[in-house]
Amino acid sequence: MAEHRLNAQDRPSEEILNAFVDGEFSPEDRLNTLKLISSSERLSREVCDMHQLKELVGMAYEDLPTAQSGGGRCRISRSSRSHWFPSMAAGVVALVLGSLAGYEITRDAGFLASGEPTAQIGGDAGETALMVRGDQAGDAAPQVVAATETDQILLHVNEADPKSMSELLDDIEAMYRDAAADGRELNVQVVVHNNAMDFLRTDRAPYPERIAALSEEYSSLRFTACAQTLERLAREEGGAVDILPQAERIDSGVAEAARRQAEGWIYIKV
Amino acid sequence: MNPLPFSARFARPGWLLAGALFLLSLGGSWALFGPERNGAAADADDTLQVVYHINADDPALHLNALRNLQNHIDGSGMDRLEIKVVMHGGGVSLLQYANEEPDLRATVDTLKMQDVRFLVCGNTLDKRGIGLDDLYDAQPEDRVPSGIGELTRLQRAGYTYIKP
Repeated sequence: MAEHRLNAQDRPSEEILNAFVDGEFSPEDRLNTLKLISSSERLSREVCDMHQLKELVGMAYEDLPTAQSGGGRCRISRSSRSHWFPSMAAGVVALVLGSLAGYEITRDAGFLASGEPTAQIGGDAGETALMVRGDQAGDAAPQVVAATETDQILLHVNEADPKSMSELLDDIEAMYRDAAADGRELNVQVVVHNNAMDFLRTDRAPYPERIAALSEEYSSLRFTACAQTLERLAREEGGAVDILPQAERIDSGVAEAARRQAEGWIYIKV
Repeated sequence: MNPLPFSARFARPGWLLAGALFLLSLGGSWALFGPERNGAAADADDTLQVVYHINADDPALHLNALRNLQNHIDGSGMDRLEIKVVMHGGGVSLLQYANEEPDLRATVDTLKMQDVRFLVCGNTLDKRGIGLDDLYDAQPEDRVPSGIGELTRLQRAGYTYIKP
């Protein structure tokens, strides 16, 4: 009802509303108009919109006074400023980006020593450092992380007496025990060739039960025998040479050792 | 076609792009050749990180291995050395022989003066009942829990592995 009445007769004219928004009234008139506006929801929304419009116009012409006062010369200065401002801004952004890019490039290339010392402190510190760098490298990250979260170790055996073979098995046991204690995954591949082949030969293996037990317990442990050595032995002895059921044949012991190192495996010669 | 007024030429986007590229290259080269490059930067490349693995009970091999190591240091031309000798299994006998043999002892001393560390596998010492006292100039910090574990750790940290 109030709305209706207001619409019918008391609605202030556009002129009055504009004068109110522009603050051109005396305090008394202003108070009256304010009362009137607050009595109608639609009117107050209308006035609010007008206020908003006024603010926007004000913002758009913030530097208007200089333009108005100076005529042609000022217009040139304003236009040249508006052209130079983006290029200056672009320059600053480019400088910052360029510095950052240069810094990243030099650090990734190993020019900066900052990342290196942490890698030398210890296994765990090295892992985190590598993982952080991996994250920054983006696409390369999964490979780096995979190489460090799981220790991949190749044990190369080409000369072994029974005593050192026993020690090798002790070492493997200790490696898995330590890795479990540290909560790390472990991949171990034993590569046997040349004069150490007795280690895996069915007819001469000194500790076949231990090899069977270890293989049973640790699925990521592999015993691999060089096929070339086996073929040579077969030729020399005039009959096939059998290896333990837990052992696998690989094409070449030396090639496998080289391949694994290229893949980032840790190499230990027993 | 009318030639463009002077101010309008500067307003063309080509200038903007050129300016941005110039500053980009400026910033990049500053970062590349800036102060950090010459400070701590070059150290990583100048460090020789090597681990020698000795697991044989053979004094002749020990002496040869340590001579190889000295040659390696002399030939590397590196300023900073981070070199470890990890003795494991039969290899711990190196420091037992060093008690008796002056040649071997002198070689160990010379290498230690160049900051070469001689690390002994704790597992081996326990298994064979060898004390640190039995080993030439061995300190508690020279004992590592596991020789293989240490070889793994050092390689993971970027050390080059050599088995003489």
